[in-house]
Amino acid sequence: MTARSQQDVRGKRPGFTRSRGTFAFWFCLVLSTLVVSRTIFALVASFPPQPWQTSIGVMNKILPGLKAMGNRPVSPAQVRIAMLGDSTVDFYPNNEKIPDRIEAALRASEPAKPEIQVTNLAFLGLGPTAYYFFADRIAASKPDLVIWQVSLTHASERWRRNLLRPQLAGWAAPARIPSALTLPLDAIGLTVDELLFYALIVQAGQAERWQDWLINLSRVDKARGSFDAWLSDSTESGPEKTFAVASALTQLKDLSHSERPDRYSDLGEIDHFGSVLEGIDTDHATLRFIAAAVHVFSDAGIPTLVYLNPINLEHLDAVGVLDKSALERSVEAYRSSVLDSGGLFLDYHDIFPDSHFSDMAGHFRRDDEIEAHALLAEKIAAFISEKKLLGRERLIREEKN
Amino acid sequence: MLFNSPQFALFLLAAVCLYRALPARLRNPFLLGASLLFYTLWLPAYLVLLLADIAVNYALLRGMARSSRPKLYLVASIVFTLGLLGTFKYAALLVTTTLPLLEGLFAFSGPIPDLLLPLGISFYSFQILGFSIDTYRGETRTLPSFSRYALFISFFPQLVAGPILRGSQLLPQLARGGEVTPERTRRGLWLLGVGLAKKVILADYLLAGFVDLVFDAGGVESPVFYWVALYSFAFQIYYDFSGYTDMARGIGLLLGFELPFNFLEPYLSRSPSEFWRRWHITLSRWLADYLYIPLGGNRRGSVRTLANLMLTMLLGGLWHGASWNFVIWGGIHGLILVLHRALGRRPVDLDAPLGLRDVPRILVVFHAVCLAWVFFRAEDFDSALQFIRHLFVGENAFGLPLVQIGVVLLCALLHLAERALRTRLPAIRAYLAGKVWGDAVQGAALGALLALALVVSGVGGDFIYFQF
Repeated sequence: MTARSQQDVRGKRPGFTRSRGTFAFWFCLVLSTLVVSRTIFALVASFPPQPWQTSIGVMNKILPGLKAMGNRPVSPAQVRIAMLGDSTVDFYPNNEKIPDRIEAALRASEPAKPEIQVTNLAFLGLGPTAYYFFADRIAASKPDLVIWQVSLTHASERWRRNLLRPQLAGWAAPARIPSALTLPLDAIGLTVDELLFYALIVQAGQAERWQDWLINLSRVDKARGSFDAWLSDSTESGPEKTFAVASALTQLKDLSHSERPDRYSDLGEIDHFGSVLEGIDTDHATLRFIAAAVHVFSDAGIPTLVYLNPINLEHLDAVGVLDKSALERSVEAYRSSVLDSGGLFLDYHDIFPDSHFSDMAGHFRRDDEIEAHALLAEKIAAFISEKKLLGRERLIREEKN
Repeated sequence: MLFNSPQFALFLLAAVCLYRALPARLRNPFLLGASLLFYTLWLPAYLVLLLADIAVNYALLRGMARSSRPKLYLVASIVFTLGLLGTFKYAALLVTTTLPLLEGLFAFSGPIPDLLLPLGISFYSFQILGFSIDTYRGETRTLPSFSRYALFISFFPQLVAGPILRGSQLLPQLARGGEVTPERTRRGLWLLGVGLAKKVILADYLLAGFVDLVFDAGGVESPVFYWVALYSFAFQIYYDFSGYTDMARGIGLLLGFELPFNFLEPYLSRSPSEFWRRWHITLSRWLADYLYIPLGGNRRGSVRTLANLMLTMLLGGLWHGASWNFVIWGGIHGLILVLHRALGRRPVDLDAPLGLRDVPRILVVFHAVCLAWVFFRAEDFDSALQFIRHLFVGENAFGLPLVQIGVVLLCALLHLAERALRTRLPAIRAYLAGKVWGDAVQGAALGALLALALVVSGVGGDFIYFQF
């Protein structure tokens, strides 16, 4: 090799090595990221995902429900009702859920309309903010009536800041996003970038992949819990020998309120109800979201019946957090928000005594003696029949058509 | 937009790619736009506040440069900037503190302000003030253009939680333009990966859960749980904040800018003063240069020196948040520093190697710092006192939280490893340079770290220092 060619080789080699090195760096970086993350997910894949997770529930239930309702052929005899709400609506076994009860009661009371179908779009954890972001999709499925359960608990920070708010916000119709930005997003713990990011994912058709990723993440979380449990089991039994973090923390939690049962805690109630106990006005973030959603339905010509879910007033009184005048102010604010937006409002917050409730969350008792949810469904159905809501609104719709 | 969120990953990817694709003259305007967009995506309304702060202060800087009485402009800048900071951050504290007194004396009552704290206001306010003071002192040779000044204040990698920059640290780099090199890119990616791992794996996944429940639940009289929670919080806040800083520095490097260190293994400090030269370094330097030294520093006798120290630490504590707990936290550190100085101790050399003889001093400083953290983390003063009582009173009837003890020991080992790695990093880099297999190993290691961080990222939460 000549001196010249050696120089060329020397001159080129560093650059050549650098480019090969850069390629090796990036190639190994991407490969290693994929392999390690897949390996971790594979290792913990035996842990089931959390089927109750609200956003997964939305994927598996609300969206198919909307699709089915939208696809249903319209006939004069058919009435399509969309039922919205949280776990208190969707809590019971099939055929006993509040939507099923309402459907049965309406069919019985309106024999001329045998094809009344109430589509259950309620799901655990879905509150006013979530339904606001779904409002356009619900309106697009063209129900004849929307029945919407709201609760005084929905105004609490705990509800407003639902853990899954970003993912749910992503289902907002793109045209809705500018008006969504005028609502108090910060009060529900949602930032503009979250709204845009999840909307982008939904619009890109990647929602299911995103859900898979979230499910994988929940598996990792479960893996940690399981590891803690394993460590706990592998030690000697007895309360003084619980070594694992999870069990130790559970003890801490239990002991912090050891003087009273979980349900009877004023701290728990204050957390659960939040500022409604002190009285809220129509400018409250939750009520603004309710009003905005009802507006969407009203603008689409869909009558909306909003009912305020019963709460356990006796219990609130017993734990010393009930200020009746303040609570009435909150109820009035709910009422005004709905009525001013063109909806109908039913106040059922005080219809049941303590004996009708099974927990502090407002879930009703269901046993041989008391079927509070059935009573509630009958009341709603009776109101719809009495006010001839279906007939009147059907008439309006048919006239429009 | 949190640094550990997927939307930030998307934002960063787009920002870095576009930035690098642009010609040099468009890069700074693009960065300014990206920085303002970054802030807008949090809460659009507060962008106005940030821009107003920048615009008014820039106008005052121009006035200062032209006026024969620049002090007036400096005072106006300080009053305006601190006025905004005070209104948005401290108004509620002021009212809740004075209201009982006003009610008692004048039967006066009024509403308690409920303003959302603008993201990063404490950080960018100090950066603005620092630059105004530097300009007044004549340390700024030429006033930058408005857009460059606005970029200096709003530079998105460090806008919301520091490091708090001096004009001399960033403005010359902005004037030259970001120098994007393969070496900086590689280093930036490493810092980004390490910072993300510190935040999501250590701070959020392994430490936060135990800390939150022990601090917030209360009611258990088992001192060992409280000690473990205290150590856990000490490491949580360190890995949370230093993780953020690493990511900020890494992003800076990806854009071609060097940002300063903010942490140098603070829990290996051998004296209280050394701790403050290793913890939140840019804030400590800011407080020293713009508060402690102007107050007289150590030039006006020993009593005045101790008073200056105490005042600086009290105000430094208050900077962290609108709560008397932060003032107490600062006061405790002030007291420790005062005692240290009163005992005639002198600062030690930061680069002096650690030996076994240093262990007792390190442990004493670490525990003093940990006890002060109680006031930083607890909800209020009573909760802090309760927590401290539980550290010493009670029976260990619940066994040992072995997993968490293991986590704390792991964090301590990593802290030591950080020190070892930092001092040996240049040699390691030199050894790996030019070797293809070295590049492959680096890529694979970083990929594994990123994967681990991504996998546990679902647990994540806000950065603790974002609230300041």
